[in-house]
Amino acid sequence: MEILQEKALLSIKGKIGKILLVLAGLLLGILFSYCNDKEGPSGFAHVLMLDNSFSPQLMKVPESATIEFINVGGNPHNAISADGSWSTEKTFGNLVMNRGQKTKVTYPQKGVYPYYCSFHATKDAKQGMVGTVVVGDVSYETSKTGKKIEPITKWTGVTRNVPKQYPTIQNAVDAANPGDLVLVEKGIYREQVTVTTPYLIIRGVSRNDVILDGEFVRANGIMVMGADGVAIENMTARNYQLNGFFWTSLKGYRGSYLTAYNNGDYGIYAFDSVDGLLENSYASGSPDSGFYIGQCYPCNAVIRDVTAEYNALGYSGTNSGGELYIIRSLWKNNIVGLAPNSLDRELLPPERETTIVANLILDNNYKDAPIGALEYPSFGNGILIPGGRGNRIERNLIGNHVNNGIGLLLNLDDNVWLAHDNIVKDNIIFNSGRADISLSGPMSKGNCFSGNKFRTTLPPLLEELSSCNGIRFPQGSDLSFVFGAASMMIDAADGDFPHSSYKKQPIPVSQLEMPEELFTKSEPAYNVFEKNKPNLANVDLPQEANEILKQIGANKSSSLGILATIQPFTFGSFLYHWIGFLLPYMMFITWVSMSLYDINNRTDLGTNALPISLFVVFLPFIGAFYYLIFGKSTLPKWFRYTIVFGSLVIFMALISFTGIIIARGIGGKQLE
Amino acid sequence: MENPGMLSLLVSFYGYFIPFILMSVWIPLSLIDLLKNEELSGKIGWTFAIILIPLFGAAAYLLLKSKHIQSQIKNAVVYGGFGILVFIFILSNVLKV
Repeated sequence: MEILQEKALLSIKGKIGKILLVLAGLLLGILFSYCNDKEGPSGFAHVLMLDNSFSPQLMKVPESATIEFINVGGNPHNAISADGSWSTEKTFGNLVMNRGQKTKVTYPQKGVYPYYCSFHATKDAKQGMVGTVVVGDVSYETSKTGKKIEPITKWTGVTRNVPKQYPTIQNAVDAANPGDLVLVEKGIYREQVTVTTPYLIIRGVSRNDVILDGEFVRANGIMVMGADGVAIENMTARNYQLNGFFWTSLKGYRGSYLTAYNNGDYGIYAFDSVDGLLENSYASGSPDSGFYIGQCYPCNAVIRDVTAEYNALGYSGTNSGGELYIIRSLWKNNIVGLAPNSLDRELLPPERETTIVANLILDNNYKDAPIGALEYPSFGNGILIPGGRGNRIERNLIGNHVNNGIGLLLNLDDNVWLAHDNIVKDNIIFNSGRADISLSGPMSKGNCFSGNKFRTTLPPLLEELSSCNGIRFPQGSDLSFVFGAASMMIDAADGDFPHSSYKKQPIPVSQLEMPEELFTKSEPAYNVFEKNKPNLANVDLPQEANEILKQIGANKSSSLGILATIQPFTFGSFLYHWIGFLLPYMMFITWVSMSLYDINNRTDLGTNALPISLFVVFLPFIGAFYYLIFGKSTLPKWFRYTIVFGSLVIFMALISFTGIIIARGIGGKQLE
Repeated sequence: MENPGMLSLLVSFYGYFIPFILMSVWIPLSLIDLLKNEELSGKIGWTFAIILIPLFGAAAYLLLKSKHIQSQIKNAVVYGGFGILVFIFILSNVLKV
């Protein structure tokens, strides 16, 4: 008998060694795949196929980059290079791509590739549904002459008046030379304007009475495509299927005193563009974000004195950052105030080094927002950092959010993006449903929290144990918010979430006109960042904050901490959230306490009780699993198998369920 | 911006759960012992201490008062636990997790 037990013990020791090795290998594998830098550029670009246009029409990518083409329109589409070198037919396997279908094309050779949709354009890629991919560092000029134009820093003195000289804005823009001013008189302009001439100034005489109207049938209000230095001032764009004002693939942009409302993708939008300023502007009613600066590093850009409301996201910037300042602005009544994020579906991940200072961020719990399934899990938060790094969040006033004031968490795309090295300092956060500040898992490094005024943090003691200058203890692995967000994804995948259409959003009140003195100062957008880089020490909260500051404390919030349910409440999401979050804890406690109880009752283990206890307790799950299944435990077999495999099966079922639902339900964006 | 190293991520993940692990082991062990412990006076006080003073209540009971837990197990889970806690604390400050 004793010999048998001795053997069993020896075999336990041998197996423990093997299991340890396997476990270490597994962990290293996971971590290594996370840290491993792939060859070629990280992330991929994406081009939407709409009815009937590509967006963006011009896409610049580095050599060996990949572009994903996604049909979000109702018609069948494809993309074929004019020179025949690539097509979506080759990668997708079918000339016809229907709504929701997507395919990835990789570009190993540098060059300029005009392309077309064979159903909706001419084969020379000049008329109809056409686009251009520019790969690598090749010269490509969109201007009329096709030649590179030296930067123009001053107005040429030429004014082109719409409609006195030119009947449409597009006519005036086409006629203009770099450095000219296009001046638009009051009126409603039912057109979409594409700008390919650099250094223009496009100005309305009245912000509220110069209106570009897409009537829900045109794509973009004003799209500046590859043309550097274009400034747009003092006008409104509404009811476009995609964007109000849009700069793409260029250097130098400025948007001043602009209003964009009820546009179907973004309000005011800069993509793959650097050196910019968006100021004194207003964006509402967009199902993605009001303001967006994406895919740039360093962006060298400033957003200041703007207001965003009734959007899905007030500000969103995917894979942007580096000298990117968002200051003194008002973000209210969206589903989330600001959400700079990392995703694989655009180039240059991760999002990093965005500076968010002195903003007023309120009530971002807007249930009638025009959101899609992809946006819904960010509901009810002031600032979310999904997978962002090295962002500075300072001196903001953030209040009345049903979930979190500030939330740091992972973002899930083709890769897992974790939030690291973010600095959260000196903010005032009040009346949040879950937590004023939430740091969420599954892992993170270097996020720090100091000098904030708040009532609740998750995990607790965040400022004490993850302070910016003091001691550190790991805090970045709380999974309650991760499971909460996942529960919302599951609701969203079923279409079970509150949302409305961008076409039905509130029409904004009259907005502040551009001051008279700026009419005499006409400047193209040259060297914009250098001239407008903020001195952060002098940046104060917007005026509206003073009233709010007086009222804080009047309405107190309470929070159930990690057990607080995500809002909006549904029974399904509540069950999922609690079971998903608590099950691993229950499994751990059950397995370990039963193992220790058994070890304590055994007299045959002798001095081996110590290493076996260590193994069971401090190698989470693996240790106790191994002991209960292979460790000659004296507990009855039916009991051991029930607590181990029973709970494992339930947990695995939950994880597979999540995986299937999310893979099926959360794809690209949906456009109406 | 550098990618955080594997060790940092591992320490951040494991370290976060260590206090939970210690509580979920120490509390049931001390309560089981307390139930069987005929000699102990002030059982209600100890029960409160174990469940209400995070970590230290249960650790104090196990080290000072327990009678029915093998000393090997006690050493492993209490001293071992404190050792790992201190180790994680030092590592996380060195690695700036």
